[in-house]
Amino acid sequence: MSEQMYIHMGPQHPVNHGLWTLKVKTAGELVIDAEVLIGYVFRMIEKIAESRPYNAIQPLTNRLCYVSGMSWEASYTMAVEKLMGVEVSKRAQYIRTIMLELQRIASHLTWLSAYSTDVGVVTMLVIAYREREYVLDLLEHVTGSRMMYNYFTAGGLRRDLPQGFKEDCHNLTHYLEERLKEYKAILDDSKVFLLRSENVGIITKNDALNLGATGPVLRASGVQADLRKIEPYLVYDELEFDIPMRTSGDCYARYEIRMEEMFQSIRLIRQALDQIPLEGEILQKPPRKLPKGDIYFRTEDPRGEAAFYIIGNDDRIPYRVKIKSPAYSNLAICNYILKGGKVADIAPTVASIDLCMGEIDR
Amino acid sequence: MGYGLYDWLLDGWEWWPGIIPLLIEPLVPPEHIGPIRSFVIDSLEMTTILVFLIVNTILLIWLERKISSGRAWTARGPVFIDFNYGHFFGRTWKFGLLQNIAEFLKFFSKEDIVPEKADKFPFNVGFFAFVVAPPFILGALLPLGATLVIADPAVGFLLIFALFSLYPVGVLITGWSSNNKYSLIGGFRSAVQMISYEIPLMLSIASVVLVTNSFSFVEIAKQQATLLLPFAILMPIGFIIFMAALTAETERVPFDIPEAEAELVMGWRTELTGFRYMMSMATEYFILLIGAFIGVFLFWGGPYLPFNLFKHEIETIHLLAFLIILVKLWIFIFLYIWVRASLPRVRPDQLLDIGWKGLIPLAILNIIYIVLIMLYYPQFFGVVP
Repeated sequence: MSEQMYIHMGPQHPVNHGLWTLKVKTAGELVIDAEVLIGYVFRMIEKIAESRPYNAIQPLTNRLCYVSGMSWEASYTMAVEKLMGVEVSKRAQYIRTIMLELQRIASHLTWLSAYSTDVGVVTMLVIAYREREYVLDLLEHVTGSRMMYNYFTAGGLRRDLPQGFKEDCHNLTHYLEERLKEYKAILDDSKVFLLRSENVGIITKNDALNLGATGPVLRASGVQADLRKIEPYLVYDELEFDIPMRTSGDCYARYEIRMEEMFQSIRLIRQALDQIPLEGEILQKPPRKLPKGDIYFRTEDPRGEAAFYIIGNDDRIPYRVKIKSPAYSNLAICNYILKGGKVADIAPTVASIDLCMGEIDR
Repeated sequence: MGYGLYDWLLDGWEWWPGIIPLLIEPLVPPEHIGPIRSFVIDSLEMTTILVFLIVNTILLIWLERKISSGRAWTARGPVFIDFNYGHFFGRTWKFGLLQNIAEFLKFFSKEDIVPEKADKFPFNVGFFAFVVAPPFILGALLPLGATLVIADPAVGFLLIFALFSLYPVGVLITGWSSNNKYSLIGGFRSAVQMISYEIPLMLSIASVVLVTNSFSFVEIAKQQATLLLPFAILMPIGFIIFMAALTAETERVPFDIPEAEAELVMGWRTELTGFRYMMSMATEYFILLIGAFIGVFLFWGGPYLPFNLFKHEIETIHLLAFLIILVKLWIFIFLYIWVRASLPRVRPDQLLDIGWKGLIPLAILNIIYIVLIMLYYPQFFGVVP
């Protein structure tokens, strides 16, 4: 066992939530080196986007990430709108904000179940998915679909909120708040969970900045970076919320950030539900063609900074669509933080980064 | 010794099935008939305990699926089975009780794959000789009542732990010989776990032996009956150490690192398929059941109730003692299932930390506590100086 050997974790391995390979060089229980191999789910989304009308690209952006389709279609739609100079009504903006925050909660719940399973609490796998299902039920009620929503569109939304949404959403936020407090207590009170999470997979502030980490990973390392505060889009500047930040940069900090973000999302949803204007155009007719010019628009995805670079060519079909995925940036730090750790720490460390292979390979 | 279930075979021939007396009486000299009778009785009693253990193992797996992967996961566990094997149990069954039998049959129908580059001899023989076989030898030592036991040797449960310790050896052999990196790491983790958890386990049992001066289950249970309270209350530290070390011994959460499925796929049993996989899983539960037996007799007073409740009845009515043991066994097992449903898994180095820096000093403290009491106030443990 003192000899060094390579262990291939993937493409079919419980560590990978998605299709990728982690090639780990180990000496016994010690990780000496790690290498990330990706490209198993490459679907040419950027290239297909160069041959489709801009409104037909949006279903593709849904398929970028299977746990937060809404946030990707939001980034794309808002980028297109900014390029065309379309201003969406306040009501549509509020609805978009509510939808995005619900999607953030659903995405973080998926992460919670994946992370706790990798640490060893298999019970959390099921109960976090149960709460996610309630959120998805609400989203399905609004959009008609559980995962591939196709709800946002340039100029507004495809349809208005259904009847009784406000009460349902309020009830859901209360239910979720109660349950999330319970789960936080279950995990925080567990000594073994702390043993597995604290001081595991540490990224210092400098490393996080230099390696290009985004989102909760960056915030867990002590950088208060959230595009909802830095470059407010939609109605985030009219709502009150905090950006959680931790300085320890370990798995536990990332866990705490995501749990805290779910509470902040609940806060945002409640405010938005109270302030949502009753009047407002849901769907304006957008221009048929994308104007000449380019745009770089970024939003705060559940995983970090998601961005679209779109070049218009005075045509319905964009000249180029470039996607910047936060999970890709975070994947790049993977081998850096695994080095020098233990084999048993690979699973929680990788899970704490929250990868989604759909948007990494595109 | 024995359960006394088959004593009616001892004299006379009227209860023996048809042809046997006709064959034995003319052929066998009369002085050999007695040993043959006791041989038949012993075989029947061994079969009885084995059937009892296997049925309880199947029920234990069923209970685990009902509670840990059922109710705790907001599901219902197995509820019915669709029997595709000849429909001889009917299509459905209440509470999914037949689920495990259905799956045992399924595993036997699977292809048995031995990896091409595996070391064939240890892979085939080591697994069955060291993992599967040892627990089955233990049945004779387990009492099913106040005095009902097939064999009660002086070394008692020392023999049980000697056979228990073969399990990690088998795991290491299987993991190493299957020529798979995950299995290799899993096997070595099992060896590491053994060297750090056998010691606190034996030390916690040593405290019981110090007090009772015996290695026999029957004797230890009887002494706890005279103490009014079981050892779980009189020496709580020892009991907690025993529970923790037994969790590691049976490789269950939070100490299931040899098969940590998050990073090692299936750990040491990655290359086991079909009935080999089934046997490895069944053995794990079999060992848990035997561990529960040990725990119940060493720390929970065996068939006796606290404060000498119904002591005379328990000693005379065997069925009552048997039922009390059964209930205690299932409560003990339920604790383990509960822990599994709620705890994460520790890391190998943390496991060593807990073992060497936590449990062993605690176990030594426990022994010092026992020795001090035995020296200065032996009446506490019912010893008359």
